[in-house]
Amino acid sequence: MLEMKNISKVYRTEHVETHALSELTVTVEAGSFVAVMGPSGCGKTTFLNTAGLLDTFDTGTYHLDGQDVSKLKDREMSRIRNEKIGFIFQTFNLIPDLNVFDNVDVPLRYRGMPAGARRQAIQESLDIVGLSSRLKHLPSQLSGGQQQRVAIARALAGTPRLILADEPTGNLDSAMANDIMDLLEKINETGTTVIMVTHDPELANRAHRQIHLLDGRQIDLEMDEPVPLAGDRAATVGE
Amino acid sequence: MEFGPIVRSLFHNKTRFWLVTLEIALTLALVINCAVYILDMGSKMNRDTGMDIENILVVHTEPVSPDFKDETFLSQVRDEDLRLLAAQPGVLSATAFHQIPLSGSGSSAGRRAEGSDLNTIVIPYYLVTMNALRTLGAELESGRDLMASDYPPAGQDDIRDDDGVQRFNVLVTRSFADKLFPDGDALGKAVVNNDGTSVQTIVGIIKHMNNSWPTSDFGSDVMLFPLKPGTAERMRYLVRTRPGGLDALAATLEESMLTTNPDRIITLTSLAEVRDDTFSEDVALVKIFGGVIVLLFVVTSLGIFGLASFSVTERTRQIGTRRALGATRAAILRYFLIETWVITGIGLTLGTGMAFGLNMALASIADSPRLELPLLLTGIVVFWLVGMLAALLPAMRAMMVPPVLATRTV
Ligand SMILES: Nc1ncnc2c1ncn2[C@@H]1O[C@H](COP(=O)(O)OP(=O)(O)OP(=O)(O)O)[C@@H](O)[C@H]1O
Ligand SMILES: [Mg+2]
Repeated sequence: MLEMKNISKVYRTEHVETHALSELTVTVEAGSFVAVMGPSGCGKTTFLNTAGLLDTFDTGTYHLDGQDVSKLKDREMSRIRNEKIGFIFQTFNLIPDLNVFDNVDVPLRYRGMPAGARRQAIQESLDIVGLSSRLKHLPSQLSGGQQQRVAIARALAGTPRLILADEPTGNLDSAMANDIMDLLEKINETGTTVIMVTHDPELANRAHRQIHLLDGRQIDLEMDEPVPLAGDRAATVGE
Repeated sequence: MEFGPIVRSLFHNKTRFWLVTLEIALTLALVINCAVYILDMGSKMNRDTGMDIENILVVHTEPVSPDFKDETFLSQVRDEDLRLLAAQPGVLSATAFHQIPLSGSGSSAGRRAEGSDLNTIVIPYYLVTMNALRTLGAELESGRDLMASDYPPAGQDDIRDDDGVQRFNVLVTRSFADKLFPDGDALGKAVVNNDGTSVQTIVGIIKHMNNSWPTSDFGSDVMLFPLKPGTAERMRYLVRTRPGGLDALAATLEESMLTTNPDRIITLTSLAEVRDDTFSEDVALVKIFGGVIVLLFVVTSLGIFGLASFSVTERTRQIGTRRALGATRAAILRYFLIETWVITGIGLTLGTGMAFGLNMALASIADSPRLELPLLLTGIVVFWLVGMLAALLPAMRAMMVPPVLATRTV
């Protein structure tokens, strides 16, 4: 599904250079559920941004779904994001002025789907997340967990091949976090590849596979000692 | 394409938009009504005066000698002046007028058609010596010009019949003739004052000429009276030259006239200058209204620009999210342009009603011209374009927001 080779990404500001990703090589099989872990600032978000074509990288090659996406035009990247990828954000990122229905509708309109097909897709994906009775609600009228479920419905509505979630449960309590995790598992069972960044080892354990990042590189935990930082944080983030 | 959600999202933010919407509406109403005034003024000022104003010199003399108090002396000087003026090289004709057409000051009297029950109307008139039409370059449409026999005999300053009723032959313009004689048979008919003590028989009809108030709605109503003008205070002549001969005449005329009689102050202007002077206030007003239009456009475009900028800045994160969800740059640009388009559209719709309202209100307190649909449509189109232009820069800024902003957590 996803094949990154020697990807490097450097953030340059006036005074410092930050190597957010250095020579990162990652492969994710289609249909798998991968948890990305690592201490704060290790490059998890940068990795996800790169994987989701939200940001460019400096060196290396990236194949997504068999296609070389290293040197695409902005318009083509927009199309791939729209058709192949579903994003779930830590802060939900719903559009506050639009109701639930219109929020889920956003990516479908960019795809130029006819109204009838859009309505059906919206209904179906809201059914999956259990919010089909809240079409007319504004995000501000929903709880955090409900908002994230709307966001998931929005990511699902376009039937993406890949779901990218950056700490989707980071702003939720553990009960809600579990609901969201259940949902992501359910989605994964239908064949959609899921890559999720999390600080919670319990949630990470439910994934098929874990990728540990440290200073922009993947580290192999079976060879190294467990990274204590991740565990420490999990203790505060978890229960 | 995204029309629905954009409008729905707008209506969740009503309070923010109504101000600019109202500003647009008010601006349209004011701009359109200013434009109505400007266009109306412009067309009035450009109207044909019916006179050869570029080639007519206005000679204003102000006697400083008490000799002029003597009627005989006065009339002698006038006859001498007229002879002198007519004899100047390049001069076609010269006539004494008691007031100057297009000058903004003149005389008028009430007259009604003899034997008719139509109301008395006000008619601006001029006391003139012979050859007035030739001097003005005005065209006689029917009947005849004034002749020497129409004037009071020498030594007499009036013509009265046995009953003491004043009786004169006069020329009137077609515009005036039609008002008192709607059937078009004014020639040979008489007009009288209210108490019947003054009767004028129409012996000729002038095709068209303006009176002293050319922009008024009676601006083409004129009666020319065969009474020799002039007082001890002032005497005025119009002198028509061959095309292009006016400057040459003006250069030497004062000296020649002072030779005839030195006891007076002589002022020379062209009739075109007189008209421009009369219009100067209107021209100033037109300029002010033009300035108001420009200013309103600038202020309103700034308002639209400000709103669009704010709308973009506030939604930077949302734009990033939309980009992440697959919006192309073009789609983002379109979003903000459509948003402005809708706001401007609502404002202009309101403004159309207000423009007509204001126009009717103005028409009811002063006689102002009607608002025509083509002008309104032009205003709307121009305004819409200005609005889109004002929104273009912020929309382009929105377009450049990178998708990665969606995941940034600060
Ligand atoms: N826009 C940027 N400009 C400069 N440096 C950046 C930028 N974005 C990220 N970085 C730096 O790159 C490194 C990796 O950042 P990233 O956000 O990927 O970390 P993360 O693993 O997601 O951390 P967290 O767990 O706190 O979310 C950090 O050192 C960060 O400071
Ligand atoms: Mg992060």
